[in-house]
Amino acid sequence: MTRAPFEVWQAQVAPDVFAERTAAAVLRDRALARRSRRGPWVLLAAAACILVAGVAWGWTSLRKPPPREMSTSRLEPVERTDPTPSATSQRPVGTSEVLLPTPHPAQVHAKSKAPASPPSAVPEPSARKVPLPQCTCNAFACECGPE
Amino acid sequence: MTVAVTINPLGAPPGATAGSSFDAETLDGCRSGDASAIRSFIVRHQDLVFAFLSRSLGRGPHVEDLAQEVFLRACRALPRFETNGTAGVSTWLLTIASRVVIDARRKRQIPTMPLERDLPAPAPGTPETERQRLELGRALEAAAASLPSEQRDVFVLAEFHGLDMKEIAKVLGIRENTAKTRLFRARAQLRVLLRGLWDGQGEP
Repeated sequence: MTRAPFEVWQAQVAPDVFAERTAAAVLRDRALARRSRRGPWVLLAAAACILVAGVAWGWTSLRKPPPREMSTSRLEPVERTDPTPSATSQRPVGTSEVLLPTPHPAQVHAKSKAPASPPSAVPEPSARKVPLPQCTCNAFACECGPE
Repeated sequence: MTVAVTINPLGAPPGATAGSSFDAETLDGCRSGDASAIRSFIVRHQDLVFAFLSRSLGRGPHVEDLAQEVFLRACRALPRFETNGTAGVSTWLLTIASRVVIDARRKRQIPTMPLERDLPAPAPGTPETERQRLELGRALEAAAASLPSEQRDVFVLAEFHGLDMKEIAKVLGIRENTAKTRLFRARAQLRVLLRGLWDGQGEP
C-alpha cells in the first residue's frame, strides 16, 4: 500500500486564533501552578507555628508553681475585724457576708491605736501616726472637718 | 458549528525542516515563560497536533479543546524535556497527544459528527480528478473510523506522520511487535473496505 492515496484524507486545521488563545491559557496555567505551589508551604508554616506555640504553652504550664490556697479562702465569708470605708466600698456584690454598719471614725481611731496587744503593752515607736479628722456627730450623721 | 478544513496531507508543521536550532531557542523561551516564544511554538506545531487528533478521533470542535490540552501538558512538561535527547519535539508532542486521545476515549466525551457536515462538497467547477480525490478521502476517513482505535492510532502515526515502528511503539507505550501487528491488521482491513474505490488510485 503506497502512501500517496492516503493524502486524500484531509486533516482539520487550527483556527487563526488558536495559538493566541492557547498561549494565554498556558500563561494562565503557569500562574495558577505557581500559586498552588506556594499553598503547601503556607500550610506547613502554619502547622509549624501551631506546633511551636503548643510546645511553648505546655512548657510554661508545666514549669508554673502550684496555685496558692488563697483563692479559695477569699470566697468564704470572713468576719471583719478592721473594716475601713474603702474596704467596705470594694466589697464584691453577691457575697454572703453580712453588711456591717460603718463604724464611727473615733472607734476606728481607737481600734488602730490599741490593736490585739494588751493595754499594758508599750506601743511600737515605729507605728505610723494616722491623722484623724475632727468630727461632730449627732444622731443621724457626722460632720468632719480638717484636722 | 462549521469546521474549516483544508488539505494538509501529512500534518507536518510548516517549516519543519528549518532545523532544531529554532526548536531549542523557542523551547528555552517557553521554559522562561516568554509569551511570544510560547505562541511561536504553538504556531509551529499546531498543524501536527490537529492532524493527529482529527484523524484519531474524527473532526469536530473537540479537536481544538484537546489540542489546547496537548499544548498545556507540553508546556507543563517542558522543564523535563531534553532538547538534545533522542526524541524530537514532534515525537514528544505526538506522545502527549496520544495520551490525550486515550484519556478522551476513556471519558467517552467525544462528540461524533457526520462526515457530510464536515467535509466540503466539491465545487461545481472542480476537475474530475479532484472530485474523485475528495470522494476517496471521505471513503478513507469512513473506513478508518471503522478501525479499532488502537489500530487507527498506529495507522495514522505510520502513514501520516512517518514514524517508524520503534517510534510508534515509544509514542503509544507499546511493544514494537504489537505496533507491527496492529499496522498490518489496519492495512488489511482498509484494503478490504476500500477495494472497490481504490481502483486506479494506487495499490491498496
